[in-house]
Amino acid sequence: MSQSIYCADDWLMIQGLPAERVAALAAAAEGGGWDDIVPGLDSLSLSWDPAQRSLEAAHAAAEALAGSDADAAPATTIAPATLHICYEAPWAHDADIVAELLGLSTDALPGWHAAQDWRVAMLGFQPGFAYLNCDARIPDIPRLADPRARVEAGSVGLLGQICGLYPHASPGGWPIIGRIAETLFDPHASSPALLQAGQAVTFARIDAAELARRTGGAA
Amino acid sequence: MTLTVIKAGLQSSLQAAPYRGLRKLAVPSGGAADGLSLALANRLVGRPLDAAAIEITLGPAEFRADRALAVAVTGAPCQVQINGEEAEPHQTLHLKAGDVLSIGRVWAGCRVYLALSAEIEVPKLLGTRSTLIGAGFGGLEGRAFADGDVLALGKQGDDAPALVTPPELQPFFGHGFVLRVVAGPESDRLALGMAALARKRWRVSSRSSRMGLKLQGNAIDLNSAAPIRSGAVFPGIIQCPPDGLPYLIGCEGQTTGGYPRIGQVIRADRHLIGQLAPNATMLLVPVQPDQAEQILHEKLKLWAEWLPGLALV
Repeated sequence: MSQSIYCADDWLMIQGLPAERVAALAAAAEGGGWDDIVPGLDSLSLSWDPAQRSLEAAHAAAEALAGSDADAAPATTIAPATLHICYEAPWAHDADIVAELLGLSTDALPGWHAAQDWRVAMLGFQPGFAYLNCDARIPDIPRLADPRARVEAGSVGLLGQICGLYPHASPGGWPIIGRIAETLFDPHASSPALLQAGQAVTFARIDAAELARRTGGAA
Repeated sequence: MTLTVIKAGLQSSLQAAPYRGLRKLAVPSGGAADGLSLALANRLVGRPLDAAAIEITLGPAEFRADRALAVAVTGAPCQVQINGEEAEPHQTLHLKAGDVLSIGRVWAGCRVYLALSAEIEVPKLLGTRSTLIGAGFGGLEGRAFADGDVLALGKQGDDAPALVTPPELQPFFGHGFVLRVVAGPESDRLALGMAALARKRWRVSSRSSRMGLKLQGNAIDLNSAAPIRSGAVFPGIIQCPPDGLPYLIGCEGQTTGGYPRIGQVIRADRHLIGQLAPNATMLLVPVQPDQAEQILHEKLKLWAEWLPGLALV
């Protein structure tokens, strides 16, 4: 994959990156004087205030970063997260269609999903919404033809080759296979997002009763 | 020690500095859609340039001071009245307890800013008092104002000296805008290059909000409309969805996207996005990133004397 740098007047993007390189460069960019460091699925974007830093200096810093062997540095000093997931009805709306696309029986889907080594590729779409990827080959899972008017907070979807975690109840077009007990985003917390890019994620299976207990009956 | 919202209008909310450094958590920047007009309003009441003020969309809206207070109105041109008597935008206005301040429907532009001499007492969240209306947090309970809301005010008095924005510095808003743009990461997909953006007059559709604005005009030809691997978008990014009609990301727009990014409104002009109302027209003028940097420096120099420390975001 060839890496190149796109440059606007106050942000730039190192593009064409493998996922693990995105995480490594994002970690290496911390403390580099950037206003925002935004991982994408195959890119890393960095923004700055032109009143504080010149375009030339920003571009040079990004080139140095892109050329560094940040891979060698341990990118994942972030503690892995365990999320408690219920794959049972009524939270697994679209398990049938997803299982079929994966060539699995519906009963086998939870075991497959929980067995993967997931990693947070990026956050996007809405505050705390996490995009997870894994090493398994996943067929391109399409968006629902008829998006749901309401997807519950904590819903777990599979779209494209990505597993997505909904932090808030919202309309949504991702096929849903389960629901987690954890709160993904709390703006009042000192660290508002539970997950961050580069973090390893493990899913631990719970039943509907346990989900209800952990979510205070909100489920 | 309060201000009462008599009529909230279409959308009035508390806005101040943007959320900073949180885009990696998918928290939008938000803050005042027109940060320059916010700064101009705060300047007239002696508050920090990015202090929390009231952002009023299109008007009309009405407020009652429950104590003596200095206020100032800037942004989109509109009628301003105190107890039914004409008052002027761009100057310090002194209200007595019980005075009613009315903001009329805007004549041009989109957003009016009402700054107060006293601090509006809502808790700071993640470093600012700005309301993220889409995400539902910050400001007043994470929402736009409703009729009858009562805003708690700090102790600061009404003794702000009477000031007027120097006339030559009062921004003029009409129905047409010129926004300068640099190429976006996927501009190479434009079948006619950046000229495809520049040679058209775009109209803002009614599908417009702080999150983004859908533009109307002739559809753009792309060599490929295939989605991109999700990556960062910033306020001012112009996306090209499959229908070929551009979508301009607003201050509260999401932090990542999957549509081709065919242009980026330069930082120096981004505050103008907050003044684009439905039916406004705009020209997009391509510039190079180093020109955009120069334009920003010149714009900041222009404002340095009246608005020391102004940051355009």
